[in-house]
Amino acid sequence: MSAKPVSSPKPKVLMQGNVAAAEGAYRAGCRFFAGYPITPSSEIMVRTGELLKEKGGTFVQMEDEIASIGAVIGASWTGVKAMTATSGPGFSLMQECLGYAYFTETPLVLIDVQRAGPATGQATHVGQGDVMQVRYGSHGDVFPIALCPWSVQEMYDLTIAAFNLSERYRVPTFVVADEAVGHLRENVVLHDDFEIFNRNRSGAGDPFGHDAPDGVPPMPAYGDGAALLVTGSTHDSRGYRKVDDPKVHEALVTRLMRKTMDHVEEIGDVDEYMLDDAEVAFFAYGISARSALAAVNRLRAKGVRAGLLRPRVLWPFPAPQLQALGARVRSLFVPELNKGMIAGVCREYVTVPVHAINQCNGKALSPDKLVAFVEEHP
Amino acid sequence: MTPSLEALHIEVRIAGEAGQGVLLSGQMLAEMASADGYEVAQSARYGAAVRGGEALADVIVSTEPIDFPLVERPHYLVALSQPTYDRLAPAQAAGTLVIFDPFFVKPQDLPSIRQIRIPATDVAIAELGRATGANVVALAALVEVSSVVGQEAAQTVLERAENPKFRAANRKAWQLGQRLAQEA
Repeated sequence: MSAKPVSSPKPKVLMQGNVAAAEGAYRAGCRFFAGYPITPSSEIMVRTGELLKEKGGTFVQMEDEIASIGAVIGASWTGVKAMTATSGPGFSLMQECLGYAYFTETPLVLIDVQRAGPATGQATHVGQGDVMQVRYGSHGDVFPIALCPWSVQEMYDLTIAAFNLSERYRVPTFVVADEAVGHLRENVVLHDDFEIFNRNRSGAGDPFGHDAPDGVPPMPAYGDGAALLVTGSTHDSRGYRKVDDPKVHEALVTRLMRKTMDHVEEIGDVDEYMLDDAEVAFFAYGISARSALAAVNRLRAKGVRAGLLRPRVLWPFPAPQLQALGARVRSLFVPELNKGMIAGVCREYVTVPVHAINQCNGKALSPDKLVAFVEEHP
Repeated sequence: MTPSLEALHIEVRIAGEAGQGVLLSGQMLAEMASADGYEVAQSARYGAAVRGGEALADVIVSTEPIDFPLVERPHYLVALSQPTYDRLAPAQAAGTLVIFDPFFVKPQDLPSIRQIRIPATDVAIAELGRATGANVVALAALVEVSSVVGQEAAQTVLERAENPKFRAANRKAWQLGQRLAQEA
Protein backbone atom coordinates (compact mmCIF):
# COMPACT_ATOMS: atom_id res chain seq x y z
CA MET A 1 0.00 0.00 0.00
CA SER A 2 2.92 2.34 -0.48
CA ALA A 3 2.44 5.61 -2.31
CA LYS A 4 5.29 5.16 -4.74
CA PRO A 5 4.59 6.98 -7.98
CA VAL A 6 4.38 5.13 -11.27
CA SER A 7 6.19 7.92 -13.07
CA SER A 8 7.09 11.54 -12.39
CA PRO A 9 6.49 13.82 -15.33
CA LYS A 10 5.76 16.82 -13.11
CA PRO A 11 8.34 19.47 -12.28
CA LYS A 12 9.80 20.08 -8.86
CA VAL A 13 8.42 22.94 -6.82
CA LEU A 14 9.71 24.45 -3.59
CA MET A 15 7.19 23.81 -0.87
CA GLN A 16 6.84 23.65 2.89
CA GLY A 17 6.28 20.20 4.39
CA ASN A 18 2.95 21.10 5.98
CA VAL A 19 1.69 22.55 2.71
CA ALA A 20 2.81 19.41 0.86
CA ALA A 21 0.80 17.32 3.32
CA ALA A 22 -2.30 19.38 2.55
CA GLU A 23 -1.72 18.95 -1.19
CA GLY A 24 -1.32 15.21 -0.69
CA ALA A 25 -4.53 15.02 1.33
CA TYR A 26 -6.51 16.76 -1.37
CA ARG A 27 -5.06 14.55 -4.11
CA ALA A 28 -5.85 11.45 -2.04
CA GLY A 29 -9.49 12.53 -2.06
CA CYS A 30 -9.83 14.35 1.26
CA ARG A 31 -12.93 16.52 1.04
CA PHE A 32 -13.53 17.30 4.72
CA PHE A 33 -11.28 18.97 7.25
CA ALA A 34 -12.21 19.98 10.77
CA GLY A 35 -9.49 21.30 13.01
CA TYR A 36 -8.22 23.70 15.59
CA PRO A 37 -4.99 25.56 14.80
CA ILE A 38 -1.84 24.71 16.72
CA THR A 39 1.83 25.35 16.08
CA PRO A 40 3.63 23.69 14.31
CA SER A 41 0.79 22.14 12.30
CA SER A 42 -1.37 25.16 11.42
CA GLU A 43 -0.19 25.51 7.82
CA ILE A 44 -1.83 22.15 7.06
CA MET A 45 -5.17 23.56 8.19
CA VAL A 46 -4.68 26.81 6.28
CA ARG A 47 -3.72 25.15 2.99
CA THR A 48 -6.36 22.43 3.23
CA GLY A 49 -8.94 25.15 3.87
CA GLU A 50 -7.82 27.00 0.74
CA LEU A 51 -7.94 23.83 -1.38
CA LEU A 52 -11.39 22.79 -0.15
CA LYS A 53 -12.74 26.30 -0.67
CA GLU A 54 -11.27 26.60 -4.19
CA LYS A 55 -12.01 23.10 -5.42
CA GLY A 56 -14.94 21.95 -3.35
CA GLY A 57 -15.25 20.29 0.00
CA THR A 58 -16.04 21.16 3.59
CA PHE A 59 -13.75 22.99 5.96
CA VAL A 60 -14.66 23.80 9.54
CA GLN A 61 -12.61 25.53 12.19
CA MET A 62 -13.96 23.92 15.36
CA GLU A 63 -14.00 25.22 18.91
CA ASP A 64 -11.31 22.78 20.05
CA GLU A 65 -9.51 19.55 19.21
CA ILE A 66 -12.11 17.26 20.77
CA ALA A 67 -14.82 18.73 18.58
CA SER A 68 -12.49 18.57 15.58
CA ILE A 69 -11.89 14.84 15.74
CA GLY A 70 -15.57 14.26 16.50
CA ALA A 71 -16.54 16.14 13.35
CA VAL A 72 -14.01 14.15 11.32
CA ILE A 73 -15.48 10.86 12.56
CA GLY A 74 -19.01 12.00 11.69
CA ALA A 75 -17.93 13.18 8.26
CA SER A 76 -16.26 9.86 7.54
CA TRP A 77 -19.55 8.07 8.21
CA THR A 78 -21.21 10.16 5.52
CA GLY A 79 -18.81 8.53 3.06
CA VAL A 80 -16.30 11.34 2.67
CA LYS A 81 -12.56 11.12 3.24
CA ALA A 82 -11.84 13.25 6.28
CA MET A 83 -8.78 14.56 8.06
CA THR A 84 -7.53 16.76 10.86
CA ALA A 85 -4.10 18.01 11.85
CA THR A 86 -2.69 18.91 15.23
CA SER A 87 0.33 18.73 17.51
CA GLY A 88 1.01 16.95 20.80
CA PRO A 89 -1.29 18.97 23.11
CA GLY A 90 -4.21 18.67 20.67
CA PHE A 91 -3.39 15.03 19.99
CA SER A 92 -3.73 14.31 23.71
CA LEU A 93 -7.18 15.89 23.73
CA MET A 94 -8.28 13.77 20.77
CA GLN A 95 -7.42 10.41 22.34
CA GLU A 96 -10.89 9.55 23.65
CA CYS A 97 -12.51 10.06 20.26
CA LEU A 98 -9.66 8.25 18.55
CA GLY A 99 -10.44 5.17 20.63
CA TYR A 100 -14.05 5.52 19.48
CA ALA A 101 -12.91 5.87 15.85
CA TYR A 102 -10.78 2.77 16.19
CA PHE A 103 -13.54 0.68 17.78
CA THR A 104 -16.11 1.81 15.21
CA GLU A 105 -13.62 1.11 12.37
CA THR A 106 -13.84 4.66 11.09
CA PRO A 107 -11.36 5.59 8.36
CA LEU A 108 -9.70 8.96 9.03
CA VAL A 109 -6.30 10.57 8.76
CA LEU A 110 -4.70 12.61 11.50
CA ILE A 111 -1.45 14.46 10.90
CA ASP A 112 0.43 15.09 14.13
CA VAL A 113 3.29 17.53 13.69
CA GLN A 114 5.27 16.85 16.84
CA ARG A 115 6.71 19.61 18.98
CA ALA A 116 8.75 19.48 22.17
CA GLY A 117 6.51 18.18 24.96
CA PRO A 118 5.05 17.12 27.30
CA ALA A 119 2.16 19.54 27.83
CA THR A 120 2.45 22.86 25.98
CA GLY A 121 6.22 22.40 26.08
CA GLN A 122 7.98 24.42 23.39
CA ALA A 123 5.46 25.29 20.72
CA THR A 124 7.85 26.28 17.94
CA HIS A 125 10.55 23.67 18.53
CA VAL A 126 10.93 20.10 17.39
CA GLY A 127 10.32 16.91 19.39
CA GLN A 128 9.50 13.26 18.73
CA GLY A 129 7.67 12.46 21.92
CA ASP A 130 4.35 11.32 20.44
CA VAL A 131 5.51 8.04 18.93
CA MET A 132 4.15 5.98 21.82
CA GLN A 133 1.01 8.06 22.25
CA VAL A 134 0.11 7.32 18.65
CA ARG A 135 0.44 3.59 19.36
CA TYR A 136 -0.97 3.35 22.88
CA GLY A 137 -2.79 6.66 23.45
CA SER A 138 -6.21 5.08 23.70
CA HIS A 139 -7.34 2.85 26.53
CA GLY A 140 -8.03 -0.74 25.60
CA ASP A 141 -6.26 -2.75 22.93
CA VAL A 142 -5.87 -0.74 19.76
CA PHE A 143 -3.54 -1.07 16.80
CA PRO A 144 -3.60 2.00 14.58
CA ILE A 145 -1.23 2.65 11.67
CA ALA A 146 1.40 5.39 11.86
CA LEU A 147 3.68 6.77 9.13
CA CYS A 148 6.76 8.93 9.68
CA PRO A 149 7.85 11.30 6.89
CA TRP A 150 11.46 12.52 6.79
CA SER A 151 11.18 15.03 3.94
CA VAL A 152 8.79 17.41 2.27
CA GLN A 153 8.34 14.84 -0.49
CA GLU A 154 7.22 12.28 2.07
CA MET A 155 4.86 14.75 3.74
CA TYR A 156 3.08 14.57 0.40
CA ASP A 157 3.60 10.88 -0.42
CA LEU A 158 2.87 9.48 3.04
CA THR A 159 -0.26 11.57 3.52
CA ILE A 160 -1.62 9.94 0.37
CA ALA A 161 -0.48 6.54 1.64
CA ALA A 162 -2.20 7.23 4.98
CA PHE A 163 -5.54 7.83 3.26
CA ASN A 164 -5.14 4.64 1.24
CA LEU A 165 -4.29 2.56 4.30
CA SER A 166 -7.12 4.07 6.32
CA GLU A 167 -9.66 3.36 3.59
CA ARG A 168 -8.31 -0.13 2.97
CA TYR A 169 -8.30 -1.28 6.60
CA ARG A 170 -10.95 0.98 8.11
CA VAL A 171 -8.54 2.09 10.79
CA PRO A 172 -7.54 5.58 11.96
CA THR A 173 -4.18 6.29 10.32
CA PHE A 174 -1.62 8.79 11.50
CA VAL A 175 1.08 10.78 9.80
CA VAL A 176 3.48 11.40 12.66
CA ALA A 177 5.60 14.26 11.41
CA ASP A 178 7.73 16.67 13.39
CA GLU A 179 8.24 20.43 13.46
CA ALA A 180 11.51 20.21 11.55
CA VAL A 181 10.00 18.31 8.61
CA GLY A 182 6.66 20.14 8.77
CA HIS A 183 8.26 23.57 8.54
CA LEU A 184 11.05 22.56 6.18
CA ARG A 185 10.97 23.81 2.60
CA GLU A 186 12.42 21.53 -0.08
CA ASN A 187 11.86 20.78 -3.73
CA VAL A 188 9.00 18.37 -4.16
CA VAL A 189 7.24 16.66 -7.04
CA LEU A 190 3.46 16.59 -6.64
CA HIS A 191 2.85 13.30 -8.41
CA ASP A 192 -0.75 12.81 -9.37
CA ASP A 193 -0.56 9.32 -10.79
CA PHE A 194 -1.02 7.46 -7.54
CA GLU A 195 -3.35 4.59 -7.05
CA ILE A 196 -6.15 5.81 -4.84
CA PHE A 197 -7.98 3.33 -2.63
CA ASN A 198 -11.60 3.95 -1.74
CA ARG A 199 -13.47 2.12 0.99
CA ASN A 200 -15.95 -0.61 0.10
CA ARG A 201 -19.30 1.13 0.55
CA SER A 202 -21.30 -1.93 -0.43
CA GLY A 203 -24.37 -2.68 1.64
CA ALA A 204 -23.78 -6.39 1.04
CA GLY A 205 -22.43 -7.77 4.30
CA ASP A 206 -22.61 -6.57 7.85
CA PRO A 207 -20.74 -3.32 8.52
CA PHE A 208 -19.01 -4.62 11.69
CA GLY A 209 -18.40 -8.26 11.01
CA HIS A 210 -16.34 -10.46 8.78
CA ASP A 211 -15.93 -14.19 8.40
CA ALA A 212 -12.16 -13.86 8.25
CA PRO A 213 -10.57 -13.23 11.68
CA ASP A 214 -8.55 -10.37 10.21
CA GLY A 215 -11.18 -9.18 7.77
CA VAL A 216 -12.31 -5.69 6.87
CA PRO A 217 -16.10 -5.38 6.59
CA PRO A 218 -17.84 -3.12 4.05
CA MET A 219 -18.74 0.37 5.24
CA PRO A 220 -21.91 1.90 3.86
CA ALA A 221 -22.44 5.57 4.60
CA TYR A 222 -25.36 7.29 6.22
CA GLY A 223 -27.78 7.96 3.39
CA ASP A 224 -26.78 4.86 1.42
CA GLY A 225 -29.87 3.04 2.66
CA ALA A 226 -28.31 0.60 5.09
CA ALA A 227 -29.67 0.39 8.64
CA LEU A 228 -26.59 1.74 10.38
CA LEU A 229 -25.91 1.57 14.08
CA VAL A 230 -22.55 2.99 15.11
CA THR A 231 -21.54 2.64 18.75
CA GLY A 232 -18.40 2.77 20.83
CA SER A 233 -19.80 0.04 23.03
CA THR A 234 -19.10 -3.58 22.16
CA HIS A 235 -21.26 -4.47 19.17
CA ASP A 236 -22.10 -7.41 16.98
CA SER A 237 -21.59 -7.57 13.25
CA ARG A 238 -24.69 -5.45 12.58
CA GLY A 239 -23.77 -2.84 15.16
CA TYR A 240 -26.12 -3.94 17.95
CA ARG A 241 -24.74 -3.33 21.44
CA LYS A 242 -23.50 -6.49 23.16
CA VAL A 243 -22.11 -5.16 26.39
CA ASP A 244 -22.45 -8.39 28.36
CA ASP A 245 -21.44 -11.00 25.78
CA PRO A 246 -17.86 -12.20 26.45
CA LYS A 247 -17.53 -13.95 23.08
CA VAL A 248 -18.54 -10.90 21.05
CA HIS A 249 -16.11 -8.65 22.89
CA GLU A 250 -13.21 -11.09 22.55
CA ALA A 251 -13.90 -11.64 18.85
CA LEU A 252 -14.27 -7.94 18.07
CA VAL A 253 -11.14 -6.79 19.91
CA THR A 254 -9.17 -9.64 18.34
CA ARG A 255 -10.35 -8.99 14.78
CA LEU A 256 -9.61 -5.27 15.03
CA MET A 257 -6.06 -5.98 16.27
CA ARG A 258 -5.52 -8.59 13.55
CA LYS A 259 -6.58 -6.19 10.80
CA THR A 260 -3.28 -4.44 11.43
CA MET A 261 -1.11 -7.17 12.98
CA ASP A 262 -1.75 -9.77 10.28
CA HIS A 263 -0.96 -7.36 7.46
CA VAL A 264 2.41 -6.05 8.58
CA GLU A 265 3.99 -7.05 5.26
CA GLU A 266 1.37 -5.28 3.18
CA ILE A 267 1.21 -2.18 5.39
CA GLY A 268 4.90 -1.98 6.26
CA ASP A 269 7.33 0.22 4.37
CA VAL A 270 11.01 0.64 5.21
CA ASP A 271 13.88 2.42 3.53
CA GLU A 272 17.35 0.85 3.63
CA TYR A 273 20.53 2.84 3.09
CA MET A 274 24.05 1.39 2.90
CA LEU A 275 23.04 -1.73 4.81
CA ASP A 276 24.56 -4.40 2.51
CA ASP A 277 27.97 -4.39 4.20
CA ALA A 278 27.07 -2.42 7.32
CA GLU A 279 28.70 -3.35 10.62
CA VAL A 280 26.82 -0.73 12.60
CA ALA A 281 23.39 0.63 11.78
CA PHE A 282 21.07 3.42 12.71
CA PHE A 283 17.34 2.86 13.16
CA ALA A 284 15.69 6.24 12.87
CA TYR A 285 12.55 8.04 11.70
CA GLY A 286 11.49 11.60 10.85
CA ILE A 287 14.04 14.39 11.15
CA SER A 288 16.32 12.15 13.24
CA ALA A 289 16.62 9.88 10.21
CA ARG A 290 17.98 12.84 8.24
CA SER A 291 20.55 13.30 11.02
CA ALA A 292 21.37 9.61 10.75
CA LEU A 293 21.59 9.73 6.95
CA ALA A 294 24.21 12.47 7.13
CA ALA A 295 25.99 10.60 9.93
CA VAL A 296 26.16 7.46 7.75
CA ASN A 297 27.70 9.48 4.92
CA ARG A 298 30.27 11.04 7.25
CA LEU A 299 31.11 7.72 8.93
CA ARG A 300 31.52 6.06 5.52
CA ALA A 301 33.92 8.86 4.53
CA LYS A 302 35.98 7.85 7.59
CA GLY A 303 35.91 4.18 6.63
CA VAL A 304 33.24 3.10 9.13
CA ARG A 305 30.73 0.70 7.61
CA ALA A 306 27.55 2.34 8.78
CA GLY A 307 24.01 2.07 7.43
CA LEU A 308 20.46 3.18 8.10
CA LEU A 309 17.19 1.31 8.45
CA ARG A 310 14.32 3.78 8.32
CA PRO A 311 10.67 2.90 8.90
CA ARG A 312 8.30 4.94 6.76
CA VAL A 313 5.63 3.00 8.61
CA LEU A 314 6.54 3.00 12.31
CA TRP A 315 3.39 1.21 13.49
CA PRO A 316 2.95 -1.67 12.89
CA PHE A 317 6.58 -1.91 13.88
CA PRO A 318 8.95 -3.28 11.21
CA ALA A 319 10.03 -6.17 13.40
CA PRO A 320 11.01 -8.59 10.58
CA GLN A 321 13.40 -6.10 8.96
CA LEU A 322 14.86 -5.07 12.31
CA GLN A 323 15.38 -8.68 13.39
CA ALA A 324 17.17 -9.46 10.11
CA LEU A 325 19.36 -6.40 10.57
CA GLY A 326 20.08 -7.31 14.19
CA ALA A 327 21.47 -10.64 13.03
CA ARG A 328 23.97 -8.91 10.72
CA VAL A 329 25.31 -5.83 12.52
CA ARG A 330 27.53 -5.41 15.56
CA SER A 331 25.40 -2.77 17.20
CA LEU A 332 22.37 -0.59 16.62
CA PHE A 333 22.04 3.16 17.22
CA VAL A 334 18.64 4.73 17.72
CA PRO A 335 18.65 8.54 17.65
CA GLU A 336 15.40 10.16 18.81
CA LEU A 337 14.13 13.50 20.08
CA ASN A 338 12.72 11.83 23.18
CA LYS A 339 14.21 9.80 26.01
CA GLY A 340 14.41 6.50 24.14
CA MET A 341 10.86 5.50 23.25
CA ILE A 342 11.62 3.52 20.10
CA ALA A 343 15.05 2.34 21.30
CA GLY A 344 13.16 0.40 23.96
CA VAL A 345 11.00 -1.27 21.32
CA CYS A 346 14.08 -2.19 19.28
CA ARG A 347 15.53 -4.02 22.27
CA GLU A 348 12.58 -6.42 22.15
CA TYR A 349 13.64 -7.64 18.72
CA VAL A 350 17.44 -7.76 18.65
CA THR A 351 20.13 -9.15 20.91
CA VAL A 352 22.97 -6.88 19.79
CA PRO A 353 23.55 -3.73 21.87
CA VAL A 354 21.00 -0.99 21.17
CA HIS A 355 22.43 2.46 21.89
CA ALA A 356 19.83 5.14 22.44
CA ILE A 357 20.94 8.63 21.40
CA ASN A 358 18.46 11.04 22.92
CA GLN A 359 17.99 14.76 22.88
CA CYS A 360 15.12 16.81 24.30
CA ASN A 361 16.27 20.41 23.83
CA GLY A 362 13.94 21.45 21.03
CA LYS A 363 16.63 20.99 18.39
CA ALA A 364 17.30 18.26 15.86
CA LEU A 365 20.26 15.96 16.52
CA SER A 366 23.40 17.13 14.79
CA PRO A 367 24.95 14.52 12.49
CA ASP A 368 28.34 15.22 14.07
CA LYS A 369 26.94 14.24 17.47
CA LEU A 370 25.81 10.91 16.02
CA VAL A 371 29.21 10.36 14.37
CA ALA A 372 31.01 11.05 17.65
CA PHE A 373 28.65 8.75 19.55
CA VAL A 374 29.24 5.87 17.15
CA GLU A 375 33.01 6.39 17.33
CA GLU A 376 32.85 6.33 21.12
CA HIS A 377 30.83 3.09 21.07
CA PRO A 378 32.69 0.85 18.61
CA MET B 1 37.46 30.04 2.52
CA THR B 2 34.19 31.35 1.25
CA PRO B 3 32.92 28.94 -1.38
CA SER B 4 32.58 30.12 -4.92
CA LEU B 5 29.73 29.58 -7.33
CA GLU B 6 31.15 26.15 -8.19
CA ALA B 7 30.88 24.91 -4.60
CA LEU B 8 28.59 21.96 -4.12
CA HIS B 9 27.08 22.96 -0.81
CA ILE B 10 26.52 26.45 0.60
CA GLU B 11 24.88 27.25 3.94
CA VAL B 12 23.39 30.66 4.67
CA ARG B 13 21.96 32.01 7.92
CA ILE B 14 19.98 35.24 8.13
CA ALA B 15 19.54 36.43 11.71
CA GLY B 16 17.59 39.24 13.29
CA GLU B 17 14.50 40.18 15.22
CA ALA B 18 11.04 38.91 14.39
CA GLY B 19 9.40 41.57 12.24
CA GLN B 20 12.50 42.46 10.22
CA GLY B 21 11.51 40.20 7.36
CA VAL B 22 14.16 37.63 8.24
CA LEU B 23 12.00 34.59 7.50
CA LEU B 24 10.71 36.13 4.28
CA SER B 25 14.29 36.76 3.16
CA GLY B 26 15.15 33.14 3.80
CA GLN B 27 12.12 31.97 1.86
CA MET B 28 12.97 34.30 -1.03
CA LEU B 29 16.54 33.02 -1.17
CA ALA B 30 15.26 29.45 -1.16
CA GLU B 31 12.84 30.27 -3.98
CA MET B 32 15.69 31.81 -5.95
CA ALA B 33 17.93 28.79 -5.46
CA SER B 34 15.13 26.46 -6.48
CA ALA B 35 14.43 28.58 -9.56
CA ASP B 36 18.15 28.36 -10.34
CA GLY B 37 17.96 24.56 -10.41
CA TYR B 38 19.61 23.83 -7.07
CA GLU B 39 18.59 21.45 -4.36
CA VAL B 40 17.35 23.56 -1.46
CA ALA B 41 16.54 23.13 2.21
CA GLN B 42 15.09 26.13 4.06
CA SER B 43 14.27 26.13 7.73
CA ALA B 44 13.68 28.66 10.46
CA ARG B 45 14.03 29.01 14.17
CA TYR B 46 11.93 31.45 16.15
CA GLY B 47 10.17 31.71 19.48
CA ALA B 48 6.55 31.37 20.52
CA ALA B 49 6.00 35.09 21.12
CA VAL B 50 3.42 36.83 18.96
CA ARG B 51 5.96 39.52 18.09
CA GLY B 52 9.61 40.17 18.80
CA GLY B 53 12.33 37.76 19.76
CA GLU B 54 15.12 36.22 17.77
CA ALA B 55 14.40 34.90 14.30
CA LEU B 56 16.77 32.80 12.22
CA ALA B 57 16.22 31.83 8.61
CA ASP B 58 18.50 29.11 7.28
CA VAL B 59 19.02 28.09 3.68
CA ILE B 60 21.14 25.30 2.21
CA VAL B 61 21.86 25.52 -1.51
CA SER B 62 23.42 22.46 -3.10
CA THR B 63 24.06 20.75 -6.40
CA GLU B 64 23.53 17.38 -4.68
CA PRO B 65 20.62 15.94 -2.70
CA ILE B 66 20.82 17.35 0.82
CA ASP B 67 21.11 14.67 3.51
CA PHE B 68 20.76 16.77 6.67
CA PRO B 69 18.50 19.73 5.83
CA LEU B 70 19.34 22.07 8.73
CA VAL B 71 22.23 24.54 8.67
CA GLU B 72 25.24 23.42 10.73
CA ARG B 73 28.13 25.69 9.68
CA PRO B 74 27.02 28.73 7.71
CA HIS B 75 29.37 30.00 5.03
CA TYR B 76 27.44 33.27 5.09
CA LEU B 77 25.84 35.00 8.05
CA VAL B 78 23.62 38.03 7.59
CA ALA B 79 23.21 39.75 10.97
CA LEU B 80 20.40 42.28 11.27
CA SER B 81 20.36 42.66 15.06
CA GLN B 82 22.95 43.20 17.78
CA PRO B 83 21.97 40.20 19.95
CA THR B 84 22.15 37.75 17.05
CA TYR B 85 25.41 39.29 15.85
CA ASP B 86 26.96 39.11 19.32
CA ARG B 87 25.90 35.51 19.79
CA LEU B 88 26.60 34.16 16.30
CA ALA B 89 29.40 36.16 14.66
CA PRO B 90 32.18 35.35 17.16
CA ALA B 91 31.25 31.65 16.99
CA GLN B 92 31.57 31.37 13.22
CA ALA B 93 34.19 29.15 11.65
CA ALA B 94 37.24 30.84 10.17
CA GLY B 95 36.52 32.20 6.71
CA THR B 96 32.83 32.77 7.25
CA LEU B 97 31.60 35.91 5.58
CA VAL B 98 29.47 38.06 7.88
CA ILE B 99 27.25 40.78 6.46
CA PHE B 100 25.99 43.21 9.11
CA ASP B 101 23.66 46.18 9.06
CA PRO B 102 25.29 49.09 10.98
CA PHE B 103 21.87 50.58 11.79
CA PHE B 104 21.40 47.72 14.28
CA VAL B 105 24.86 46.20 14.69
CA LYS B 106 28.04 47.58 16.21
CA PRO B 107 30.62 45.11 14.92
CA GLN B 108 33.34 43.46 16.97
CA ASP B 109 36.94 42.98 15.93
CA LEU B 110 36.90 39.37 14.70
CA PRO B 111 40.09 38.65 12.73
CA SER B 112 39.26 35.07 11.70
CA ILE B 113 36.13 35.98 9.75
CA ARG B 114 35.45 38.41 6.94
CA GLN B 115 32.94 41.16 7.63
CA ILE B 116 31.10 43.42 5.23
CA ARG B 117 29.18 46.49 6.33
CA ILE B 118 25.92 46.85 4.40
CA PRO B 119 23.84 49.83 5.60
CA ALA B 120 20.62 48.26 4.33
CA THR B 121 18.27 49.98 6.78
CA ASP B 122 19.77 53.47 6.26
CA VAL B 123 19.51 53.11 2.51
CA ALA B 124 16.01 51.67 2.68
CA ILE B 125 14.83 54.63 4.75
CA ALA B 126 16.59 57.14 2.49
CA GLU B 127 15.78 55.65 -0.90
CA LEU B 128 12.62 53.59 -0.34
CA GLY B 129 11.08 55.78 2.30
CA ARG B 130 10.69 53.01 4.83
CA ALA B 131 12.84 50.54 6.75
CA THR B 132 10.78 47.51 5.79
CA GLY B 133 12.61 47.05 2.50
CA ALA B 134 15.92 46.54 4.31
CA ASN B 135 15.60 42.75 4.26
CA VAL B 136 15.50 42.72 0.46
CA VAL B 137 18.40 45.21 0.28
CA ALA B 138 20.44 42.92 2.54
CA LEU B 139 19.47 39.85 0.54
CA ALA B 140 20.52 41.53 -2.70
CA ALA B 141 23.88 42.40 -1.13
CA LEU B 142 24.32 38.80 -0.01
CA VAL B 143 23.56 37.47 -3.49
CA GLU B 144 25.86 40.06 -5.07
CA VAL B 145 28.87 39.16 -2.90
CA SER B 146 28.23 35.42 -2.77
CA SER B 147 26.71 34.58 -6.15
CA VAL B 148 24.95 31.82 -4.21
CA VAL B 149 22.16 32.16 -6.76
CA GLY B 150 22.20 33.71 -10.21
CA GLN B 151 20.80 37.19 -10.85
CA GLU B 152 18.36 35.85 -13.43
CA ALA B 153 16.79 33.43 -10.95
CA ALA B 154 16.70 36.21 -8.37
CA GLN B 155 14.80 38.48 -10.74
CA THR B 156 12.38 35.69 -11.60
CA VAL B 157 11.43 35.33 -7.95
CA LEU B 158 11.24 39.09 -7.31
CA GLU B 159 8.75 39.37 -10.17
CA ARG B 160 6.50 36.74 -8.59
CA ALA B 161 5.10 39.22 -6.06
CA GLU B 162 1.42 39.58 -6.89
CA ASN B 163 1.12 43.25 -5.99
CA PRO B 164 2.80 45.47 -8.66
CA LYS B 165 3.71 47.97 -5.93
CA PHE B 166 5.77 45.27 -4.20
CA ARG B 167 7.37 44.25 -7.48
CA ALA B 168 8.53 47.80 -8.11
CA ALA B 169 9.75 48.20 -4.53
CA ASN B 170 11.59 44.87 -4.66
CA ARG B 171 13.29 45.83 -7.92
CA LYS B 172 14.50 49.09 -6.44
CA ALA B 173 15.57 47.48 -3.17
CA TRP B 174 17.48 44.84 -5.09
CA GLN B 175 19.41 47.43 -7.08
CA LEU B 176 20.26 49.30 -3.87
CA GLY B 177 21.59 46.12 -2.27
CA GLN B 178 23.68 45.32 -5.32
CA ARG B 179 25.16 48.81 -5.28
CA LEU B 180 25.98 48.64 -1.57
CA ALA B 181 27.74 45.32 -2.08
CA GLN B 182 29.77 46.66 -4.98
CA GLU B 183 30.81 49.68 -2.92
CA ALA B 184 31.59 47.67 0.23
